[in-house]
Amino acid sequence: MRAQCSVCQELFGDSDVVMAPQCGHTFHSTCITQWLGTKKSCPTCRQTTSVDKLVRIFFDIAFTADIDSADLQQKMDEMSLEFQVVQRELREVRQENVTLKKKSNKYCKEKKEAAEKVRDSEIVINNLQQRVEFLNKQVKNFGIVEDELKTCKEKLKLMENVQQIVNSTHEEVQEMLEQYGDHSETARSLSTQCVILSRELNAKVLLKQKAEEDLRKCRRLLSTFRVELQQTKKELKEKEEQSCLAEEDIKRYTTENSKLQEKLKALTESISSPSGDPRNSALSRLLNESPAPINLRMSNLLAATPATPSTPLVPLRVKGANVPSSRLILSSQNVSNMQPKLSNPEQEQATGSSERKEGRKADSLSAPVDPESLKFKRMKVDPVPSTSGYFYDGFGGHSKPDIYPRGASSSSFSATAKKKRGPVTMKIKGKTQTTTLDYFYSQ
Amino acid sequence: MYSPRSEASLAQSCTLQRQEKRLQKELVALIKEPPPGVVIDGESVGQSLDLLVLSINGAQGTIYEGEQFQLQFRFGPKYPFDSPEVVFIGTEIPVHPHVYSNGHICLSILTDDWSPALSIFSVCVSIISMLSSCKEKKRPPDDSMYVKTCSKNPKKTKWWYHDEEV
Repeated sequence: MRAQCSVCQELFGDSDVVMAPQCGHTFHSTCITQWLGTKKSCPTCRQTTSVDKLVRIFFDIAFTADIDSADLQQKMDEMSLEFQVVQRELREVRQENVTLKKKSNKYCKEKKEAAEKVRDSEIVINNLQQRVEFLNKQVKNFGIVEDELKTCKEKLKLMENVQQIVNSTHEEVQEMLEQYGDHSETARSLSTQCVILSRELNAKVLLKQKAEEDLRKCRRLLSTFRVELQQTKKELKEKEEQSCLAEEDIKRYTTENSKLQEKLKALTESISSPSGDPRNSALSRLLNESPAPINLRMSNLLAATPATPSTPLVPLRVKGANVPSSRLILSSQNVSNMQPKLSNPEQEQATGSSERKEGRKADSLSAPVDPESLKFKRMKVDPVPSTSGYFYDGFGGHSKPDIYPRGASSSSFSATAKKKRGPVTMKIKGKTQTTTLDYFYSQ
Repeated sequence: MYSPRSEASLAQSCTLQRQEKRLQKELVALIKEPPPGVVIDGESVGQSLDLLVLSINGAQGTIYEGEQFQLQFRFGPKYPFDSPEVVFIGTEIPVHPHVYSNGHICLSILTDDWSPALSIFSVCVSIISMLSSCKEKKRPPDDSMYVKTCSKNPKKTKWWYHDEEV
């Protein structure tokens, strides 16, 4: 049967329910009823109708063994349609597949990247964990340090209290003790003790300061003393050197003295001859007034030592400032004694004269000292001329033209010889003659 | 399987399937035997069931001879019980007293006089006959105002089918 529904454009099947409005156009019952729901007219001829007016149509289909070409056509159409649909679906699916593959590739890449990221992050996490552990350790350490700090703070408080106790007065300490402990007598006594101890401590501190200051002073003094000691040692060395020189000088002098004595003896013998010729006297004068030996002069000049105030003669010598150090050392016991010894030898007379000259200068310079020393000299000198029978004015010794020896004793002779030489030596000789030279040397 | 068709088939009853079947059948028939003056691109037809674009050539011996217009069919879910949305698209819009410059067509069978017995084929024939019967290229008198105020969908326009001649 090749009849079709104009709504769905499909052929009527054997089992389809076919209906028709009064105009006679046939439709599937579902198709016509749905259309009549929107518009009350026949789809084909637009004649107005309604659901009530629909009539069902029954076909008596002839049963034939032949294959209905219409059916086959319809089936073919359906199949082709389905095929188209399936093809379209296939296309869609393929497209989808492609896109999905792309997506999966993308996801794979992303997954890889993510895995790498995860690895990196794991490494980072490990590092962070280690750090966290380290920090935890540090935190523990800090905790320990904090505990220590707490204990230290407590100690500090305690020490502050102690400091307060040490510094405060009795009453304050008492108050504190009352605050902390019971009000018993022991507290009071303890407080007093504390105060006393603190006071003592303060006193001790002061003493210590003083002692330190003393110590400093002492050290300074010690250093100054040391410096002085060094200086004195130096001086001592110099003195020793000088003393050595002086001893050498003395030796020389003694030898010379002995020589001179021998000469003197010879001279005296010659003089003591009865003839008493003036030639001898002239000779002696020549001998005496001849320039002194060079070495003697030198020694005289070298001498420059401070004088000792033991004798009245010294000022004069000091003013002369030509006294040798060696002589000074010798004259430590008695300068007056020593002086004659040195000047006694006739060769020394020249030196004595020089000394005398300087002495004069000194006298003129220091007026107050001079008269006394001069008086003294005279007093000492006087006895000698009286014994020898000559008067010596003390200054004009040289001016006397002639001395006529009276012979007799050798001692008088020697005295006269000395008188002729010089006033200074004369006065000393007066003394020296009384005490023999030999005696002195033995000393 | 993901496709709008399958969803529709699962959601709706066999009636819907039948409607779809009809559309498929129509398209196959169109491709196989299009109405005179109508050119169908077989490839584009298969892409979507909802949308169909045809080319209409101006019939010989008419004022539109040599011209080609694009006609677009849009089928709603209720097709064939509901009329399709038919408009001219593209740059070439036929100058006709029943065709507005935005492509909307004033034709009674596309709205009030629609019947499920009508098809794409019959609509095409009607439009071609409408164009062919025109003797003067002229826009509708209310064209400018209509174009300004109308909605995109021509089916929402309340048409006045005043000219029975053309």
